[in-house]
Amino acid sequence: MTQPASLPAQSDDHSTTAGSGSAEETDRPLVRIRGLDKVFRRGSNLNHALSAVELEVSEGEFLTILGPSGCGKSTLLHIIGGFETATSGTVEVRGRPISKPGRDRGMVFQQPTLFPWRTIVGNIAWPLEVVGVPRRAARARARELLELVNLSGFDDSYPAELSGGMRQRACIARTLAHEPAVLLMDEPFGALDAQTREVMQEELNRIWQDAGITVIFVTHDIHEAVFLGDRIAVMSARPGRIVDIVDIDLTRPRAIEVKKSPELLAYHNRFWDLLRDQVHGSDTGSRP
Amino acid sequence: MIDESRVANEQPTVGEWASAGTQVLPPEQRHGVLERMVTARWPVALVVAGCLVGAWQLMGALGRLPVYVLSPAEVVSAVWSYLTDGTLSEAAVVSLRRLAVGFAIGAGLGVTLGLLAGVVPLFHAVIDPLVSFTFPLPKIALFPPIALWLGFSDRAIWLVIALACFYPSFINAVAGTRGIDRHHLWVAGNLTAGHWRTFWQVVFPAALPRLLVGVRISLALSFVMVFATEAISSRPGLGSVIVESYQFLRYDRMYAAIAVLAVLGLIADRLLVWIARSGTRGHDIAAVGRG
Repeated sequence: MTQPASLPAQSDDHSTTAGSGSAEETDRPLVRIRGLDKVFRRGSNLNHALSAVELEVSEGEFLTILGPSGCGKSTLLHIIGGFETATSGTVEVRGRPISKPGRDRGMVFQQPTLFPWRTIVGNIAWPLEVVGVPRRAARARARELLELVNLSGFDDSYPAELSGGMRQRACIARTLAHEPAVLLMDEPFGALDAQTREVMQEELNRIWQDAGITVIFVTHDIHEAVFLGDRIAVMSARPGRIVDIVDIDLTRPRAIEVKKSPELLAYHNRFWDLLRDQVHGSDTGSRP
Repeated sequence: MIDESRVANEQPTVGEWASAGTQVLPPEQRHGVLERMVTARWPVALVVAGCLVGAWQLMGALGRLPVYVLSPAEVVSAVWSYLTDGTLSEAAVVSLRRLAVGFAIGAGLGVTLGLLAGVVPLFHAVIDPLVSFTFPLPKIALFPPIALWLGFSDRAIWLVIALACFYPSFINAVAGTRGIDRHHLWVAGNLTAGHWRTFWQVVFPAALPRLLVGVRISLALSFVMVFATEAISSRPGLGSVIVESYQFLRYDRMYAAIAVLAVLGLIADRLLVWIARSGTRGHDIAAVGRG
């Protein structure tokens, strides 16, 4: 499904499970989530955010998680990223249970999180500098990544000089720099204007294909979820459960024309029916 | 379904980005001379200052100034003569040395402990109430008791200046460190950056603009304090020159000393701002654009 990586040095540094049978390796999902629960406690108030989430993501897949606002999908992504801990249940990446952040997972947040005091190339080189890659080599690699996300020529700009869309591209490049096994994207285009968002969705499809990576992409936008995903996991309103997992049978690579296709419209209507129930449920249901 | 050639060759120009609703400014913006002067601000400030000094000088020439106000030309000539005869130059060197020592100790300690309190919650819990309770006390009020201990010595002056300089640096270093964007820390955590690296390459640069605001206030305070301590202790320096000249009705020398103190303060402040700018370039662009 994914094309061969055009990125040089798509290393296998993270596959620490060297030696064992390769047949099992390839069969095993990259990310496996089992019985995940998350309860937030504030004083005597309990807020059940996630309930019995089961999910598997295979190598090279683009999975979108679609759910109404406040359904806990960001929380789920934060737990996979290791930024928050689950109340119960497990998350495994390549068979290893995770409990804290790590370089095998790369997080892209809704708001661009570039360091304002570093230039764009300095920001993207940072993940490499952290593991001791010499400055020159790190910067050379950062420039390649800038090319991948179509930001060549902005190497020495500061984040504040870039538009929101360009900053988000740079964030993606920075996350790709440490070659994570899976890219975790938390509504990364949510803060962008509608036109830029469309362009970015197309760009992400291309980057995903060029880089040959696995993506878990959280969104509340049905169009976005269908346009980007190989599979869509639909979540319920709080407490978030996976209510359905749907394969998206649209040809790849996908261009902007796909958004106007009757197939996408059919998917849209199907998911809207699913989501509408959830939105109604959360509006009329008892919330603290 | 997809146009392969377009994907492969897509190299956006700056123009394309700009048309896609970006905020990138073209590298050159053409303005008229007048417009450029207004945008640059300093020529306007220069003209306004020139007019004020001119009016002041004119009043002096017309004899409309009270005896205790000298005209700008008289002040400048007084500065020149007292600098060349050594009175002011020696006093200035002594005062500068005192405030430099006091400022370095106070601001240095304030920044160091402030950063520490910002990242170590337990230390913050210990030191913050202490600082909060002693902050409102005017530090110059402690000069007499300190003089009981150390005499009206340079060491006593250093201590009082350092005390005054400590607070703004500490408070702003704490605020800068504690106020940093949680997501920046998450990024560092995601990359498994070590504690030292996270501190020096994320926390410190993120806190730097706020931290420098504190240091700048400390620097200004060190000038206030050097004057106050010298005036009280009568130890030779610009502060005591000002007070003694006032007592002996030597208004020319008084104004000359004030002018020297003011110019030194201005130079020190500009120097600090200049150093700070070069260290916070990306932040400045975020705040006010590329200047």
